Amino acid sequence: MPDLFTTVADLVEQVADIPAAQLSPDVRFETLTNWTSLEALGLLAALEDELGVRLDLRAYLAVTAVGELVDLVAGELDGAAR
Amino acid sequence: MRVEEVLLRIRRLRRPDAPADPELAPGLVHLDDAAVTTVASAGRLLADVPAEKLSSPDFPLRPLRVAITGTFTPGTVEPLLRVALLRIGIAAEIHVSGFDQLVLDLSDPGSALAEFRPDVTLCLLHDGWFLPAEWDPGDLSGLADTLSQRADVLAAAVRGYAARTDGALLLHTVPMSPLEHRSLVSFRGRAELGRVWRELNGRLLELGERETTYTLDLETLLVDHDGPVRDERLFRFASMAWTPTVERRYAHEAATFCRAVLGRTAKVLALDLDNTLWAGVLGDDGLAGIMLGTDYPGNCHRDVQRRALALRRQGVLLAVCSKNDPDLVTEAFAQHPDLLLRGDDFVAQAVNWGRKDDNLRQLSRTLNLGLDAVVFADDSPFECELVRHELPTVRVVELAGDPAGFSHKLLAEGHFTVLATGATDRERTELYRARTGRERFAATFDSAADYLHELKLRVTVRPVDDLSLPRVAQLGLRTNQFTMTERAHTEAQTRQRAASPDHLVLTVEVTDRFGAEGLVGGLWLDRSTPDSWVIENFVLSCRVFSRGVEQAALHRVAELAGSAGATRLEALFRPTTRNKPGGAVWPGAGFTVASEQDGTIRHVLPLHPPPRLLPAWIALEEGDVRA
Repeated sequence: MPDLFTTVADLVEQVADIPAAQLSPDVRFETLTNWTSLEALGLLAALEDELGVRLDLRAYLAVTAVGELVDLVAGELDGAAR
Repeated sequence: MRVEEVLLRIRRLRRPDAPADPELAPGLVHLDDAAVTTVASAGRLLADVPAEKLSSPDFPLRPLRVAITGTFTPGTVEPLLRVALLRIGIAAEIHVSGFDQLVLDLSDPGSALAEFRPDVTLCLLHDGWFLPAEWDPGDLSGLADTLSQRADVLAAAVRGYAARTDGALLLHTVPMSPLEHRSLVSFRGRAELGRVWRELNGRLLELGERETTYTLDLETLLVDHDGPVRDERLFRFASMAWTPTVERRYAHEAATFCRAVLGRTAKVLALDLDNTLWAGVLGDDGLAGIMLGTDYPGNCHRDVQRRALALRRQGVLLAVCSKNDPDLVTEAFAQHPDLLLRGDDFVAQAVNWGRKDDNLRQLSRTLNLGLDAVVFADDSPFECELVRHELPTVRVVELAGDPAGFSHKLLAEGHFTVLATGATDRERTELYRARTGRERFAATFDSAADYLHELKLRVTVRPVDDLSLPRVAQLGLRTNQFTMTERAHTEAQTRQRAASPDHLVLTVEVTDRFGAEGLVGGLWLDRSTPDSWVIENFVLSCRVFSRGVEQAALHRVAELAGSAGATRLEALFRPTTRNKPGGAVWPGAGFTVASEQDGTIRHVLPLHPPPRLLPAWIALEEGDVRA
């Protein structure tokens, strides 16, 4: 299974057509071209679909950088596994 | 085409200098099982691809102007709708309105939507637009009045719009959130709310009964949808009233509506018989042995017949396309008590041992209807793939898996959906029957060699062993069509022959790229005269007819006999009422008739020079054979 960052980056690529190679944990979503709340919600649905998690929308909307999102999802996966 | 390949091809097409990709639009069916996110991203990417790069003579794309407006945020439906439309041959230009623009869009003659001049206007509705934010659970008749007023507002906007424009407009019934239901504490109250809500949906359905306005019964279609209609988070945060999977379901239905608006509806349903209209193989199991009664699985096939009959009564032409004995089929349709369909229900019957793609071509010529008007339904992946490959415009319904799902598969795609039916539709079958007369479809056997090559057929011929012996004996006893005698060997006789040095019992197994067909045939040989091996019986399952498997098996037998020193092969054939297909193998393989005695025909094939019987598209795999 690919690591979580790769999964998240691939989904960002799918949802917003931004090459995954351009992403790193420090990249902030608001700096991406064409990144609107619609893409953000699309990514939320994609993440939940792909990873079988359910995120708290408040925590999700508070995320600013790709790395933070990876941490949030990791925490959720962790919680689900426990 | 895999999902990844579809996405890759789309990305490639977006380059300005990319050549056209005629396989992509029909290939979008490969996204049917993909996650909705994937379909949505495909749809977004396709928005930039010009239609001429996707269109082809085999899959022409029709232009259509489609507008989406709603009482909530409808934008996320667009990419899903784009894919759903392209998938069925429509290259749409899509206009999307913002949050809750519906009434404005429809009422204002100068709205951006009105100026777009859509051929089809899709109106997306949600319960929250009709329900007041606060309503008194003690006053449900007051609520009914409010809902009725909201419906009046919508109706006025729709009427005004319909009067000004000539495009079609699609409304839908609206599911009510269970939260509203549970907000009431009494069972009586909940039931009354349900009735009040259904009255609203009744109004919406009525609105779709006139002029160019239509109503999709979405509430019914969501009954078997997996999961909630809305995600509360997305609804509260972004006024999105549908989950992505509901959007996808809607997009599919809306695309079907668009196809009906364009009049691109299928007109003919060509049905296979064995294991499609009934369970079992008529030629082998006999009239009494096929299953189509009230018990599982026969009742599933009977239900397919019921659905086909319903289609026929609404103007769809039915045809048979089956590898079978035509006399047996005629007898079945005339006599079987549980058949719902009768000979008269079909405009044509292509019942022969020929290729199904040829039969479908002939059918389309006889009926004078295009191949794109034909839907072909068959349980065999082989036949389905053959037709997809040879006739890309025919719409194929593959009835795979549990027969309990066949009726759903037949109807889910909406191939036959039209805007409305009329009195003449009921008469259509009679009309076309007069045209086709009683013509019997001639079988053609010329090989679709390129297709057969792609099948990667592998045939293994090997001596029977303990494991395969009961199965080959069984196959010998229950095969009626491809068999050389009516007195097949019993299991004891087969066992005796398998152990005897004077005899040889061989099994035939087939594998193709769809997987292993398993044990499909057997040969019973007498080699007591070393100079001349005698094929006492040869049986083959009708599942693998017309692929050259019998030739490959005989090639192997000739090799074995030749290397054992035999100079000729003999083959016995004892005609019965049903085994014509079996007897045809001998002349086809170059055997000639040597003698005829007591109803048994003896065929002969010299082994010098060694006969070349193996078709080029089959790889023969060796099993160990005792000398």
